[in-house]
Amino acid sequence: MVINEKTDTKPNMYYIGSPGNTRWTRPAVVPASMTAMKEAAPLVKGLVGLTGLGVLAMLGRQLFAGSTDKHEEEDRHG
Amino acid sequence: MARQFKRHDRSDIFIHWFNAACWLLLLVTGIGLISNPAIDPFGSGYPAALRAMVGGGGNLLVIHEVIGFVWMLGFIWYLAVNARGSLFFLKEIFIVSPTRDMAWMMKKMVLMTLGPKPLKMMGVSPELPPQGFYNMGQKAFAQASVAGGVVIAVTGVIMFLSDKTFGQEAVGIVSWAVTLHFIAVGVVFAGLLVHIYMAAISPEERPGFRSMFTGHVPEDYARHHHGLWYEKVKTAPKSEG
Ligand code: HEM
Repeated sequence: MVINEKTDTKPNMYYIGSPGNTRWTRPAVVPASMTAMKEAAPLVKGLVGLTGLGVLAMLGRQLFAGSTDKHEEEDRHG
Repeated sequence: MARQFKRHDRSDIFIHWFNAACWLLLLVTGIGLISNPAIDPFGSGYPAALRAMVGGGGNLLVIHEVIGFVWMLGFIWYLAVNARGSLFFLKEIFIVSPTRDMAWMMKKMVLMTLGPKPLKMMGVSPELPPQGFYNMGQKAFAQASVAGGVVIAVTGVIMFLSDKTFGQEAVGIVSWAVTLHFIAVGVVFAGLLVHIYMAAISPEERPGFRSMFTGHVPEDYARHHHGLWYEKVKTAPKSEG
């Protein structure tokens, strides 16, 4: 794994081949893509959370109200 | 047995479960490859533990890459043996009828979570517009998994090559590949939660679930859930299965 000694710009990638000279002479600059990844992370988690909530709502309905109107549902081209 | 309609080929069934198994393994190993407190979905203990388990992050990466290539080879095989099926699938999922399908999607979301009452209260009929081979929910998820799958595969190969044939000039591309890989997985995963619920847990879709093993669905399920498809195939000669 390559970790810049002066600045650890997480996340780091593993290199199985040779990544070249790892003794960089200047502090690493956090690339825009990594900042974007960090900024996107809460959005991605939010999206997963939202669909998770949707699934919980559907599950709740299935458990508490589901079976009674199952047939109606089928007649509605569900 | 009631009349059956063929939905999936043997190769369709194989690629679906093969893809699902690969996804599971790639998720488990992939999440262990990110290690940043601002990103880790399960906290930083998970990547550390998983790396320790396989003897280091380098090994974990090799495992993830091997599964990733097996996954891609699976799809190359599928495209080769069932080109017609693939084309049919792509056509079915990307052709959307805006008014019919959006109405279906909106109503279905309300029906599945709150039931028919809110629709009736707003004076909207809870009747769902008939759907084709796939309903709009299936189409939306399938579109995300196809587009997401392509992004994941391409960015995965870019990262794989990053320390092999690429040099310094590719640093920008490689680091954007990391970000896009992560976002694409997240978006497909969000859809996957709903997919698994609808396909495996929701009782109404039970015949659809069985069809991913047997390949066919009974007539009344086809008529009620995929009316437009049913209209097309009902007059066809008795389908096998
Ligand atoms: C435990 C996991 C899973 C279960 C139980 C499951 C179940 C099913 C079933 C029963 C169908 C057939 C629906 C029908 O023909 O009416 C289906 C279709 C499909 N599955 Fe899955 N699946 C799983 C995981 C996945 C994963 C990981 C992906 C991709 C990332 C995926 C992608 C699809 C797609 C694109 C379709 C066709 C469109 C659709 O029906 O939504 N599935 N799945």
